[in-house]
Amino acid sequence: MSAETRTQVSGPAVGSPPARRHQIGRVEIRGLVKQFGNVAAVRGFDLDVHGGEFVSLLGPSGCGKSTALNLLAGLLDPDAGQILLDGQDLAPVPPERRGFGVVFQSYALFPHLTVGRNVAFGLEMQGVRPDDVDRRVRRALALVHLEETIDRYPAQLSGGQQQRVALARALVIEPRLLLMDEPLSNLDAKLRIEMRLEIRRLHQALGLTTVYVTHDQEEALSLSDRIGLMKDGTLRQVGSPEDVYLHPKSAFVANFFGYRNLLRVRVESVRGTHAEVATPSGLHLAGTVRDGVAAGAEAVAAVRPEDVEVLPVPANRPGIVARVEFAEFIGDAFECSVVADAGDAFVVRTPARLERGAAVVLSANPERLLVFPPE
Amino acid sequence: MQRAAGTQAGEGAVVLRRAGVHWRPLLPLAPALLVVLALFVYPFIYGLQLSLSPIGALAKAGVFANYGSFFGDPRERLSIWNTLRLAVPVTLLDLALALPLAYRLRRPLPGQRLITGLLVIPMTLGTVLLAEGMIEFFGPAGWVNKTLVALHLVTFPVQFVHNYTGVFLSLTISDFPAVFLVLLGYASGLDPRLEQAARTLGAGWWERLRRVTLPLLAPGIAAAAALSFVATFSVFPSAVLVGEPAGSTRVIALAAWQAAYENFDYPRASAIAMVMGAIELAFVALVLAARSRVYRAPTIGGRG
Repeated sequence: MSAETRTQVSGPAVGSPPARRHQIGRVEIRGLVKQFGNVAAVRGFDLDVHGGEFVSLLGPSGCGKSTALNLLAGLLDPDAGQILLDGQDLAPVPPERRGFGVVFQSYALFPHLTVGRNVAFGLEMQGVRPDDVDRRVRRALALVHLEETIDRYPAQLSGGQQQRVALARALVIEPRLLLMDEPLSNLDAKLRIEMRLEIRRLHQALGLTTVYVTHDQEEALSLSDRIGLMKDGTLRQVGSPEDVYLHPKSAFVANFFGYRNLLRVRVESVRGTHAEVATPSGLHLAGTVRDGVAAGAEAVAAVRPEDVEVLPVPANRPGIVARVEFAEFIGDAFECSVVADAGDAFVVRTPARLERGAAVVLSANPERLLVFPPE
Repeated sequence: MQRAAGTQAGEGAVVLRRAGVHWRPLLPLAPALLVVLALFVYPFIYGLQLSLSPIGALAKAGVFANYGSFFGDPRERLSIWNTLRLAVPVTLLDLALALPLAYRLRRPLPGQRLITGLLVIPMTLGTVLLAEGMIEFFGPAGWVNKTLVALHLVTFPVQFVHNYTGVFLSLTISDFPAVFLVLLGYASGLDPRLEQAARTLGAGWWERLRRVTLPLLAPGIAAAAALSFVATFSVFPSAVLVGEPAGSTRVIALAAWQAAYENFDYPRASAIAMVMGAIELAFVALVLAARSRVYRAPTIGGRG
């Protein structure tokens, strides 16, 4: 009775953590390269993933993140580079013997098998005894709250349920490493947030070492212990969510984390970390420099919409005079497109709706305006 | 009183409208239904009715006299066996040949169009052209026998045509493209992610084939088998041209033809045609039953 009640409770306490005994030390990825024809999908990819860690690969579509995941799974062979699992080279190990759980974007559930048989598939391949298979399938389905669907076929389930079955199928084999390829991208917004919490909860409960591929920065920020930002087949920055969000190392990373205003500028002077820059149209801005920016060089200035102060005219402080193009309501604020008299466009946030054509003065704290070397 | 009448009229209108709603979506089907009725259902019923009206010596022997006499005659009965021992092995052999090819060619490969084209060519040759070619190629003075003799594999030319082997080869060649194309259609529709998922779950190639690929291809294999069997069971020209129509390849279609055009007994020919149809139907039913044992996923389902 009390045991039954316990399985109903959701939260980190659900079930026993079956994966702990398979905990790995770490995965080392060294100089991975994968070409498709003349195009290098992944080039010089280096990453260490530690046991129990949740690492996201984040980037725009075509950046090579899914290719990197398929290389890890063994579904693709690298042209160069190495993947080491606790020091063992995985190159000669085919995917069927790696013991990794993979959750695909399309779920890839077997349409001709029931939910129960789908989840049992990996256990049957391992030669687990039938009554153990049954017990573990039920436990895995309980973990994703889907015990009642055990005899149904995938086509009879909703997208979110199919997603959870795919997760249960990957978890039940107690994978040494869990790989997920944009698992939430086919779900609607509300379900996506629910499933995000579910994945977070399962990771906390099971402590599975996870590599998670996504193009959604919110997903990466909320789920990950560390985020690796990818562009053109390489990792541009790896760090904790706070780190990449607050201290982007390049204009690309900054742009991915909400620095929607990017301006080409020329650096006029640098003193310590403080820089004066100018746009080609003649706007003068003060900002904080990152490494590799010197006076006289081309650079990119980046600022978040919420870090731009919007003052009424006449302003009590100097700033950039601009006019409102249009305002979008985004729930807790309005996001306005404004165009400076010099011609540069900005996106800013305001607490109230501004009329089209209204004049405003823009001002930004130099600490919040970052100056990066050009890409 | 007036009110009641009004209500009645109103209800009548509702009923009519309901009937309209039921029928209107089916209206575009009418031309196709008419064609099916005229070209299939009517001849079938006509033939069935004809087969139950025996003429000549059997005219007074009851409605099933044609059937009784067909099954009572060992030579006639043998035509069923003669056809089955062509149709079943040809169907199985073509499936066995086409399945690995279709699976291999399911995704673009270099030269794939050329290979697919070559495999489909037999479809464009008529049975007669194929038969003429076979008589030359497999004949006593043809390339096959010349090669066999030159290699000292045989002393005298082997007889490949004008017997069972001739018809078997001819059917295998002419029937292959349809089987291959049906299977190719199904195989190229396989989601490659499913096999990858099976791999990551620990399935080697044999387990993937047995548990994922073949069950998913089951509907295609069933369709190809049914098509192939029905096509080969009704074999006629090649049984005459490259076969031994008086003996080992006296197939059931030939028995029906002889009844109709040598003995001018249309009712008897119709009865034989009905037997032919019944056997084909039985085979198709068998194949579909076998298929549903393998693949039982529902065809309808809700998405959330």
